[in-house]
Amino acid sequence: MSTVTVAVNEPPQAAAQTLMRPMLFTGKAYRRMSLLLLAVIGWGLFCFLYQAIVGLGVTGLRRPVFWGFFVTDFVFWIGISHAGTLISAILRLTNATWRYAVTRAAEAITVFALMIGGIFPIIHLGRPWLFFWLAPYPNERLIWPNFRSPLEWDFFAISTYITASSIYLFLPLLPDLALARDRTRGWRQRLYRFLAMSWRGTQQQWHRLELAIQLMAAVVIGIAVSVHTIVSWDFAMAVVPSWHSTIFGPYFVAGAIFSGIAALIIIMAILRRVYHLEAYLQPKHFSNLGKLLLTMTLLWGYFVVAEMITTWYGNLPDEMGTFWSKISGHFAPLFWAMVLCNFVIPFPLLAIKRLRTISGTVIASITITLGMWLERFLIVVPGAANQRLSFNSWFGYYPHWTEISLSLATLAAMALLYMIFSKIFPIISIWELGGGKHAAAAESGGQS
Amino acid sequence: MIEVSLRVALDPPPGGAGLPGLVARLRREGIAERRIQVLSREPLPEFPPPPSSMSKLGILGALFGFSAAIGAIVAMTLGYRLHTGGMPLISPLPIGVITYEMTLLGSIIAMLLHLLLGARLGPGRRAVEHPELNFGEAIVCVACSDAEQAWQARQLLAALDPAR
Repeated sequence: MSTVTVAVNEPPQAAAQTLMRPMLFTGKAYRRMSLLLLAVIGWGLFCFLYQAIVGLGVTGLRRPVFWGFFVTDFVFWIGISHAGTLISAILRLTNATWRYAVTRAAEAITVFALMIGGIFPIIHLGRPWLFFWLAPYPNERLIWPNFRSPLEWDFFAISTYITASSIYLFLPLLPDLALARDRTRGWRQRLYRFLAMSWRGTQQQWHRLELAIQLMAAVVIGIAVSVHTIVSWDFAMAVVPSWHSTIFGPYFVAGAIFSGIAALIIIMAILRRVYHLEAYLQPKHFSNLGKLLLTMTLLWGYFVVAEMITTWYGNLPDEMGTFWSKISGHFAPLFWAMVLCNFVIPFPLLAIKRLRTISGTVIASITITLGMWLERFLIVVPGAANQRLSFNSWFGYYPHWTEISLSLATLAAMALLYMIFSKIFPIISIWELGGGKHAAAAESGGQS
Repeated sequence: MIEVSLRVALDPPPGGAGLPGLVARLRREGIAERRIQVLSREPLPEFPPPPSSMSKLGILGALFGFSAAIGAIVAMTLGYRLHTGGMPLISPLPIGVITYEMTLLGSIIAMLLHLLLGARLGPGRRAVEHPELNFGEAIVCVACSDAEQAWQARQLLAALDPAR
């Protein structure tokens, strides 16, 4: 007889009350933080308008570097989006019972990170108001998008992923929305009644919901892997030294999962602290995610070594220019900072059991998030900065204040979206916690 | 339509028949299967899922997404002929990338529709709510067409109540 373990020993009724408390009560700290984030977002909007009116000349983008902070941020956020749906889908399909406390927080990251990531190609456009030209729609110009362009593939991949992830986030929310509908009054009840879509909890509904979630989990994995592969092809399809690499697809997917797990651990730690969810987000969750993160640290290290050693052994002059710029040249400080953040610091923290505590995994995750942003930057910029023509010199790209402001503003937007989500929806799946308990009881013979 | 309901604990009292036994008794008493519904806050393993056509519909949706993507790309590419420098106008590999995404999207949307229609879910629908339902409990509902049928169902449920 197999055993099913659940996240907490608290009765489901009490768990429901605890987990719904953040939805019903809003403290001063929450309001102050929201205002601060809104101010940062407001500043970012001003920068965006300024850039749209004056032009991309206000950024540090100069010939030959036309892809800088914005494209780095785009790749970074799409990578972070792999935290949720992909990890949640894998945990569901493998029936990892410790997932109950983790999956929703993860799935929400995906949807919001995709929203933020999807904004960057628009910000990066010289004329952002024409972004809809990417969409294939009947128009008076009789011009259709160029389907050969990897940027067009991005449009399809990201819009598919955000649709699938939103559905995958929303479906498991239905029973909890119905619970919220039944436990609230006034405008909240009307809101939850609308969102719960007349969920009653009949066995027919449960069977269909569970099957839909299970089937969608399998499909979503295929989408998630394809999305970051396609993002990597934005680079790999260009005949640019250090970009034109067959390894980029799996390298980007592994990097995305790596940064995604790190982001998930950070957010879980914040939720645990702010909403007092110590009983639900336990050390074992951080430890289990820490083990996954350790695996990805090693995989990331393997990919970096494989990429570097192949380039070095080939010794092609154009490739070597970019190679040495990272190892000992203009970009060396950033490269070695990346190695420090992605491997040297997190490896011992995650590998040594005694250090794989909540604090240890959070420190490792913070350094990894920083390191993965640097990795994205070091993929995007040195390749473009490496001039292959003899009469042109290398160009050192330096971001301007508009780019830095917009990056910070989108980070604030991500935080605010997450705060709003955690205020409206239970951040931990209540029914899955309850269901886990009942399934455990039924399986151990408590029910006939 | 009148709904008569009985709230029961999921953990049966010692010697009790439990929820599946209660539902079986209702059926034996002549209440049609389609009139009985068991509501709960969590999925109940006591009621195994019946065979479902959701996966088949997912495959159909995938085929639809695949065909729609191929059709749209070919039509649009031929509608505005780009200069490709002698390369084929319709290029299979880029089409493959977009078709892959649309195929999976078609599958997901088909499964979503199957869920919403089959489980009678939708923002505009009205259903009898049972806010009193808690975790660790279930509500057995019997749908009745008139007051007399409702009275009979109420009597029957009262007789079968394990808490009595």
